[in-house]
Amino acid sequence: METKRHQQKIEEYITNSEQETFLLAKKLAEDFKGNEVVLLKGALGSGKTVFAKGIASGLGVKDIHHVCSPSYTLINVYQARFPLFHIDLYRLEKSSEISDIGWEDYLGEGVIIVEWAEKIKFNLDAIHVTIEMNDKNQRTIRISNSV
Amino acid sequence: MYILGIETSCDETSASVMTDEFEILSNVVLSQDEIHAPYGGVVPELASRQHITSIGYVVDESLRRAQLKLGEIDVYAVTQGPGLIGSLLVGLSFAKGLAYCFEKPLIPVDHLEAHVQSAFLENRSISFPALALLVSGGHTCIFLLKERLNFQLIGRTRDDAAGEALDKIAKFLDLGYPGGPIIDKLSKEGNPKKYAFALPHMTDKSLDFSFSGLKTAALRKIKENKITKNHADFLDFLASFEKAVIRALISNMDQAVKKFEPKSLILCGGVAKNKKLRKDFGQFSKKLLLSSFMPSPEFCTDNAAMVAALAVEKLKSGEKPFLSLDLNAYPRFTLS
Repeated sequence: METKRHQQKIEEYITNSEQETFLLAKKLAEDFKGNEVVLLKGALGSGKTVFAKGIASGLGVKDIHHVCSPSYTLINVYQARFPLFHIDLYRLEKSSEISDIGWEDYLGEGVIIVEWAEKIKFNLDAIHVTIEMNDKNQRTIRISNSV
Repeated sequence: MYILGIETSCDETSASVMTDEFEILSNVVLSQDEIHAPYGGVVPELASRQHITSIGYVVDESLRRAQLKLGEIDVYAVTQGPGLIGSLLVGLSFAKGLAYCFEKPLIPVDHLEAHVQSAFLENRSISFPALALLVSGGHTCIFLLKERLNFQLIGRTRDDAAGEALDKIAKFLDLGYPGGPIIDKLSKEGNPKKYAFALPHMTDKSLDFSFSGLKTAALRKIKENKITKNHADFLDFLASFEKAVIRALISNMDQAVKKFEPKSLILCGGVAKNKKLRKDFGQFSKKLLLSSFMPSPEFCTDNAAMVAALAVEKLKSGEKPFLSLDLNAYPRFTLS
């Protein structure tokens, strides 16, 4: 894994396998205080759910196999060091529908992961994670803080 | 005795009246496919709003077809979960209201167990132990049934559900919604051997599924071969991808059969409508000399007849119905 630092405090990582993506997310989550919001962006198949699994693992979720895509159920809740709210906006179109699912109720109650976060604009402090697919296994992952 | 079942866990609003002898007097299903089609998937808030609009009509219609009045219903049954929380709450609250008003018991049922029970609607003679493969947009699981109500989860997806993978690829290719049935229809003209997909491989001998790898492999092939609706191999690609999903499903069932040595096999859930899956599942069972049971397509997708049937079975097994207004919907698995 290589790391580059940009002026905007964007950390850039190259991962070469699903496992590396998972471990990067796990390491990130190990320092979490319990109220972080992680906004995950990236195309279909880029590895957002893998990243979410890594965060779950870093927070102490034991059976990470059961951390699945919430595309249908919208919100999956897991118990770890803190509650983990795993949200997926894949099926939503308008920002009004997104506020209707009531995700704001979870703010401050635990760690929140939002997949397909590019669907709406979030006006809050968050960790932005963008996953880009370079080839079959390689991903460029950019992680930045704040809005 | 008459039972009224209500199902609203996803985008189908359904009500069914059944006798305690499992005779289906009515099974009304209002699908929201047309409402969700422009979005390429179920929109939860739209879904729950639509349930609110439709539930009164659907329940009314189920009673009219059964030639009964609300006061003549003896027991209410309703899906408690898993599903979209807003949608579940519409059915659950409606059923609670009826049970409270008419002072009748209310039986909550699990949506996945109800799907498995749909196989018994048309076949009362399934022998146990049985293995059930449940495939839908939201779920992909294998259950072991030692008896009719002894229901144990032995494998499930670790990422996407099979139907979700089909829907997502269909949406990516701009085929419309629901994607699974569209692929099923188009792929029959295609050559399933044209594109090779590797089977998902579990390193820990688990019976769990993984469809995210197949989905990613499909996206890669779409990009590499520039596949669009106008591509010469378009139908071949769809047929090959669909075949890969089916092979992954059957391969896990094969392992499960070796481990649990069942007497019969069940295929259920919305994706169980898929013609090629039904055919391959039938052939697979035949090869193993096992009887296979697949509900008719109308009972594969979400419906309230399966909810009522499970409630009747629970009553028959001696489970005491209760008038409880404390029931809560649950969005995810509670089965261990």
